[in-house]
Amino acid sequence: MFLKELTELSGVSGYEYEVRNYIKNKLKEIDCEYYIDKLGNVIAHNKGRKNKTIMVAAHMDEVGLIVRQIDSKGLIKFEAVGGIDQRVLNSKVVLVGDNKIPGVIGSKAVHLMSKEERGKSLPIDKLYIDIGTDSKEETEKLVSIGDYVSFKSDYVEFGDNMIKGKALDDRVGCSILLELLSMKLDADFYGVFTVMEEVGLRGAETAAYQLEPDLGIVLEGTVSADMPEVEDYDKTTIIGKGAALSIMDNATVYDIDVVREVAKIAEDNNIQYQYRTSGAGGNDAGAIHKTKKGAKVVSISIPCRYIHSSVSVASKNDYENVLRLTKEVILENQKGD
Amino acid sequence: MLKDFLFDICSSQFVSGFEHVNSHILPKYFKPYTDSFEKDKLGSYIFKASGTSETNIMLAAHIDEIGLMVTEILEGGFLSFTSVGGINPASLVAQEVTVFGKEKIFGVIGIKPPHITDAEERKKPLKLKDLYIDTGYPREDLVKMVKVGDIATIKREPLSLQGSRISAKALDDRAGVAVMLETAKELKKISHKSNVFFTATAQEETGTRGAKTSSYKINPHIGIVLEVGFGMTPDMTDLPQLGKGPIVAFGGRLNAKLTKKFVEVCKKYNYPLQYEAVPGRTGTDAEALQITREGIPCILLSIPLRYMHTSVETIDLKDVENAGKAIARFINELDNSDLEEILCF
Repeated sequence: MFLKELTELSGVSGYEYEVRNYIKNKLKEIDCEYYIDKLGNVIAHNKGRKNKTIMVAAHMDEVGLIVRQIDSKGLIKFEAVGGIDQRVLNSKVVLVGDNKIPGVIGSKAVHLMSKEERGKSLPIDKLYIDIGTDSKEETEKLVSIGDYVSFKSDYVEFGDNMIKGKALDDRVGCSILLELLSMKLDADFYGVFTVMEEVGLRGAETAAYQLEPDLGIVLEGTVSADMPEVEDYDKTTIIGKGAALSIMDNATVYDIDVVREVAKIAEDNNIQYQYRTSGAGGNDAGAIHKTKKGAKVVSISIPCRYIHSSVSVASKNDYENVLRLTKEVILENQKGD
Repeated sequence: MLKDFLFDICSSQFVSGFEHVNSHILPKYFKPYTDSFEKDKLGSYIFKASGTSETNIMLAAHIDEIGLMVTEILEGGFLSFTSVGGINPASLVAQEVTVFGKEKIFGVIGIKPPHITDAEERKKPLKLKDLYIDTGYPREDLVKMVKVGDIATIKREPLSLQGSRISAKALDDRAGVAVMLETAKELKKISHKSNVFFTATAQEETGTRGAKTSSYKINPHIGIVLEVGFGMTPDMTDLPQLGKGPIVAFGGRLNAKLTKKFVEVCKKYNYPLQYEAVPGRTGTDAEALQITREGIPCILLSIPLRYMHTSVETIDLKDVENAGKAIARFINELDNSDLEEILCF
């Protein structure tokens, strides 16, 4: 498991350098063949017995912020990169640019708020990052328009087998994919660490074009609303109940036969799984299944509470189940006759 | 040194009513500069630097901070909570917390994901009852570790920003406590005749209660209240700025002639100062001090602070240093003045 390192790196969509470099080094360590494509996807190849072309994808990028403007007081205005709920930005510590200049996103004192203002979240254009400077000139020495900003959030293991970090979506997938590549299975597959999933599945599209997979397996951190006051049918996935298999989301209607095959593999191997019971969201499968003449796809996900925030939460139990299931699915598909 | 002190006390919890829990921390820092230490019955810390005269001067800065209190232990390892002191629920979303149960328990406060929250609901103001601490334990384990009434704070490592700016939780009013420590150090250098009582008061955030009992106990001739004040931000442009000196307050809760004397001293010794007019309620320990016993003449000095009552309160250390020096010089000047005349109407 490489989650401590992977979640503490910055890799906002379009600027995945730190994550890519980490993955490149790991691939060298395990002596795995790879190349980087024109968009920055890392395409690794695990050679072995082969019936079909399998592409296993996990995205390197994370949601974050980008510097839009520096005001006369040296405060930094920003835009969201990917889907960020404005409610999660209040009173956070962030790191700006390559030099990781620390800053805070503050909020008006509660004492100065009107009754109507209290409890309300502010739209992103009303928020700013304060790095402790007083003028535009001071800030411009340290920060430029276009610098990427990520949350500062340490990886923490807590509770009963739980983890907390930023960017669990989708460093959990990256970590599992690295583990799969380390296993040196006698089963052929491409391990693709994609870029820019959060801003429109861009990397997966060009990677799939190059690989022309028969089967795409997408490893994701997916949404879980497994919280008090939420009805079971609204929870989407449940933490601790195993690998989540998608049936339909906003980007893909999954081939039901493939999904059921994967469920059967889980049952045959005593691997805990659940169905992802929401049509919302989307992931790299959406790009992969439509590339060229099309491909079968399956999404195997780890439920994450508070996804797309600095404090996303997942279960190590679910991580293990996704790892085991993905391994069995690859082996089963490349099994000789 | 000053920064180390602030980082240390801001990382520790002193939630209103629980100021006794970390009672070893303040004595460690104040004892080298003072010669006796006692507490009032509410938990205020009183460090006395004895002088040679009969004059008693009380410095007051509250040690307590806002926090959360567990109200219910729910299925799935979630905790419901209420607030101790005034907190904007919106500032609690996606925060890490420490629950002070039988042991320290890590948790996060999350929020329902957008896809099951309709636009109307997202626009509605959040209430504390909408939020939960997620501990990651099954309820049967959690009940052995946490009880209703246990407290929690946001878990925030203090952060150095550019220059002399820092950001942390509970700088309201640890910044004031740090001013007292700076004053204590200065007074050790320049000597003083008055008895100076450095008082880290309890329960300011729940109604300036420790200030009431500690000032009764000390029975000082004058009070110097050290607080934090609202600093200038884009949405509040007409406020004092960070790094431009502490803010001295004028208004009915404060003694006008004593305040004037303080301003004179700052001008004479070139200590930067900013000004605020507070006609009525100050929302500080001065509320209690002013009307303790037969009355205590007070001045109020505040450190400009941005994002008050959030976990990223931000100050400039220069303001704390300057305030500490200015107060020490003020005490020194009072020692050589006729205090009765200053206080005479």
